[in-house]
Amino acid sequence: MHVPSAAGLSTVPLLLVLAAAFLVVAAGGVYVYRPSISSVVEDDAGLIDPGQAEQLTTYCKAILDAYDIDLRIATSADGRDVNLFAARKFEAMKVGSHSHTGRGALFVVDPASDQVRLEVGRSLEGVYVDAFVKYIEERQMVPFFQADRVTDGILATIELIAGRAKEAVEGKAFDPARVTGFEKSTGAGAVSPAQISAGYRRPGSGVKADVVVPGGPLAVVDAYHRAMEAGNARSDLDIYTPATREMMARWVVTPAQMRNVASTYRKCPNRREKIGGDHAVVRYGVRQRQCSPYFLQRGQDGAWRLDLTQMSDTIGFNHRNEWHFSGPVPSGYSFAFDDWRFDQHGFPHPGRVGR
Amino acid sequence: MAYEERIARLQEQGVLTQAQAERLANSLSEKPREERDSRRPAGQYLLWTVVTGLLLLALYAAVGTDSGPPQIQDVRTSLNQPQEIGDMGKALTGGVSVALFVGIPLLALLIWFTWIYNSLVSREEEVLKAWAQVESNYQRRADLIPNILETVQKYMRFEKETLAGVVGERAKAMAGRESFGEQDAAAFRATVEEISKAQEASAAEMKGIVRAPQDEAQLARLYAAQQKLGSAMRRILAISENYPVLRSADQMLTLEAELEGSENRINVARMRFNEAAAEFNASMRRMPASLVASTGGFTRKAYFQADTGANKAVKLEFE
Repeated sequence: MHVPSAAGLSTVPLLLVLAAAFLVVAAGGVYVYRPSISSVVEDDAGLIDPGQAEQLTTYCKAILDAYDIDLRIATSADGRDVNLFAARKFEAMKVGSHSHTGRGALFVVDPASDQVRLEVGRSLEGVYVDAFVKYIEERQMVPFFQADRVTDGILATIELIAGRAKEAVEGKAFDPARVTGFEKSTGAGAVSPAQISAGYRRPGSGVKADVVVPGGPLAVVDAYHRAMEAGNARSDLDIYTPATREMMARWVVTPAQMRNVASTYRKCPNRREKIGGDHAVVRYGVRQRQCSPYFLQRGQDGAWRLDLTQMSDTIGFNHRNEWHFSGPVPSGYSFAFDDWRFDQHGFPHPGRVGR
Repeated sequence: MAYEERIARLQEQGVLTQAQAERLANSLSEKPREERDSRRPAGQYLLWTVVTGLLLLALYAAVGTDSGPPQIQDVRTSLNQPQEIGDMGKALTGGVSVALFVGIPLLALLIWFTWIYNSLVSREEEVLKAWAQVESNYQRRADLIPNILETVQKYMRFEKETLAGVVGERAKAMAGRESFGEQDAAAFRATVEEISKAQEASAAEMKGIVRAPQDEAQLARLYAAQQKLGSAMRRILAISENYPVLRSADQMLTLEAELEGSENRINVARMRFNEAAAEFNASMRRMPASLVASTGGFTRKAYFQADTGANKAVKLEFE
């Protein structure tokens, strides 16, 4: 009778064990957890309502999909050292584990100590250096916090994070190395006084409202860019229509937004003005997706003024900061786009087919 | 540019005295790293002794007391007759019994010892890694010293004599700059002196630490020197608050953020080092690991004893 050898008996189960182990390891390598609200926002301080948490989660997911950056938000009712809290929370929430490349960052808002911190994970340290983080906190997030709009402040800051990520992708600044397993943060990032509900201080409040209507539509747009460059966010400038002035008075305008406008439009070529009756559009090349058009109206006095109200109602931006019409092309200004066509999402393309 | 050149330039520009420049140049040089794995010999000797013993036992068991080659037992001849004790009834031979009753327990002991030893080694490695992080963050902050001094000097005139000695284009460039008031200039010089001394003291303490700190007193001295250094660096930036041009310079804002970031990294690294050291020390004291630790030459690691408020965020605000 043939009796199987000891070696023969053990080979089959051994192979099975090895195969199972291989499958487990391989699955671990490809499986990336997709975020839910509870894993993106942890609101211990009760600052964020469910609708806002949903909005933040959606936005963070878009950033994760586009740039593989795992952004999370935590609020603390702790009131103690927000820096160490952020480092521990980063570890507890395993920030970066939703990303294939271990890229992660955590917003921490502590209303008790009135501080905000953006804790940056190890693999993002080279892109979001401390000085940049400090800048976006103080010049973008805090003005919204001052106006008691915490979620808007975080969303507006995520926009700048996305903008920097886009630049980093283009400049190949991201560390291409794939990170296996979660990495603790090293304490990178920055902390700033949050100034929640401290009262919004409009940049340029002390500046005289001396930006006057200088001429045609192009000149008005130039004057607007100069005001932005000079950090003048006054709502009563002569370059705005009356409706725009009213809207601007309610808006939170941050130094970072103004600087962003000035620097973005410096790089926008192929500028062209189109006038149709008392309406005008200053638009840029169709492929310049970050350079949205300007709408202007001619007033009773014959001067051209910026119609930011119509612009804000009809123009939206995606997470790559690319502009699109969020509805139909506004009727008063549609004459300026009859040589472009717009896709189902409102993004412009060259060609004459109307939307 | 290498930090030696920058320090030399700062000395030329009158920002640093010769003594300060020497102190900084010597203390900012990279700390020679100790060979990481100089494993404790006691543990190794013990390990090798046990392994050698087991090998000898195995050899003894294999050779046994019989000198001839192993033979197939002939049942016909070896069946026991009445009153006869044949091969089948014999007790186990010496080699096999030693292997069974001494070798197996010894092997179990070896496995247990190795397991405990390795877990202690892993925990100690965590401590070493955490300490390396603390060191690198201290170095990161120290590297900011020349940057801060250079930035301040770029925007400021330090004293009228310096300006008087400058000719041509450079004098014109400097003429538009703000000038430190006498009081601020004196405070600046005193703070630079403090920075250079604190950095020198800190570097001396760091050089005395092999692998990871084990002496609480030494760690306390290093901590005190680093606290002094950090506070002096922040004071330099605070002096600049009186000078709007310097204050609003992008470079200054960047430096402030970098200093603040370095301080936070130091705090986080210190916290992680304390946690790793606490875990290692606790595991070393537990029975039966303490037996392995004492024979393996593991020693207790020192902690940072932070003073109250040491972990607080650095307050450096823009504008």
